[in-house]
Amino acid sequence: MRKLPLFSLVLFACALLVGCKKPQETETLLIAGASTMRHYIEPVVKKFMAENPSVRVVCEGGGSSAALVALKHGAIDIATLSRPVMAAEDDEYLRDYLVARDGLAIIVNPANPINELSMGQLARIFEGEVTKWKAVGGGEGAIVLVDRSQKSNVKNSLEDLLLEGEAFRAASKTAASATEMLAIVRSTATAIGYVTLHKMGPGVKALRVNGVEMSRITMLSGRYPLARSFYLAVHTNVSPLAERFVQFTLSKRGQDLLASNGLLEVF
Amino acid sequence: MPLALTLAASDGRADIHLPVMSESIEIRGSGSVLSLAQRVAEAYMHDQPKAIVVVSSGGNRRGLKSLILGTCEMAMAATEVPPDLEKLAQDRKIELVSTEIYRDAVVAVVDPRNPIKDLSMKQLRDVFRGATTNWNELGGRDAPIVVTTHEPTSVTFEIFKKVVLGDDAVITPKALVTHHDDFEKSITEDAIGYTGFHDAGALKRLTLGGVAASVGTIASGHYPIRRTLRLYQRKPETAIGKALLGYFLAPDKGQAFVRLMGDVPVK
Repeated sequence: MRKLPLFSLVLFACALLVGCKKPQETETLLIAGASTMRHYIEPVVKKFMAENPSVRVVCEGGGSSAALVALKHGAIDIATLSRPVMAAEDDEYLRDYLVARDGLAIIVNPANPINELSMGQLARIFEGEVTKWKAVGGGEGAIVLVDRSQKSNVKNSLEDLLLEGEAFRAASKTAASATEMLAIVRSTATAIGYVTLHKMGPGVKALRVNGVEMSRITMLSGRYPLARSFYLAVHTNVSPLAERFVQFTLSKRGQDLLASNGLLEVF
Repeated sequence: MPLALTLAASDGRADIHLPVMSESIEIRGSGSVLSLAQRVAEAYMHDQPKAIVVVSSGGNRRGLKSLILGTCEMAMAATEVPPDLEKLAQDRKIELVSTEIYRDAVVAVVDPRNPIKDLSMKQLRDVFRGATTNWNELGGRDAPIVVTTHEPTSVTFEIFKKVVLGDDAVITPKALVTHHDDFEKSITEDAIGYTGFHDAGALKRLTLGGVAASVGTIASGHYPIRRTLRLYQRKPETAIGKALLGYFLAPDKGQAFVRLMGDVPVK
């Protein structure tokens, strides 16, 4: 059976009772779910709180699956998901809104004869199992794998997509930013690295993955494999506050904030 | 921010309305329609650079439910709307319109090493209801037949059951239930299964009473295990919804791709 996010509804009712007087209480919005999503949604949360000073948004990780259970039991207002809802989790009370896709480009030096790698080949390169370009049909030389020096959204995403969340083990060079990543790959003939679609720059070559060209269009259509969907899920009986947050995320401004964090807008 | 807050007085239900931005649309639903929808989405975005067409699978139910709840704008389905979702739509006063996109076949498949090439409808029925248990009864090797089937919730199951077994027989309880993702692997040397025409991969498609599934035999009805793939939208259709549907039906776009896949166009 469904349960209401009672807390929020009660607060909302209180606000109505107080009438035109500004409510003193702080409204709290509880969001939990995919840890990747937590980083991506942060600018949206900050902006939402700045514009709604009486609202406190608590954003937790915990994983997509646990968040869906918590949502169904009314323990949280919004679940964030880095994957689609599965059939066994779905019911007629669950509304899951696609809010963004992430899309990653695998980049090499333009002089590299390789134009395409499969997901399996990429996984073996980033795991450190494959270290020579010849092993994946390329030219002479060792693969210079350029990794991001610190945890970043793009690094987390690629680790999730290629190695199911396992850390890369094979970096031969590190870059502190996307700009540095591009610079290293541009100047190293045998390098391979990665950036989000938004950070893609001139002087590097984006590889086709599983035969599909990397582009905004193939990421939105879902054919390009290094892209995934992020969702905000709410209960059909959503609290007005949670509804406003979802609305804000789907609005032009919310989408721009997600894009500034490297995601692909879907509205 | 355009707030579409509709807190209905009667049941306290608040619905989220997607922001009206005619240049974006999301399609969800049956994996059977996925590759066609992806190609059509790409063609549309190619011609309309500002448009966003996002495609994701998740099954018939997910697509139709999302369409009814308003979390997507177009649903892909290989089935009619199931009664419970029909009721959900009625309760929410949502009217759906469906359009046939193409037809395809469900085929019985075996391992390529299996010498059997053809089964009559009666033989196929007896294998799947468990009356025929050894390949040597069908002119094959002396080996027990490993029957595989799909989840009873799948459309492929529904159609195969209806056409091959009818109302008075059931699939043998000994049948192994396979999953779409690892279907090909689950058809071992002595196994038999059934799947959508394009999901057969490297497996051998059996002819049925001497008739192979093909564009001609599916269209004419000589090959009897057929399904119809449809797209659903809410009434009234949006401008982008109509335009996109036009792409699905255009002889030089969606229907050309349907022919390319070997399926049966509606136009």
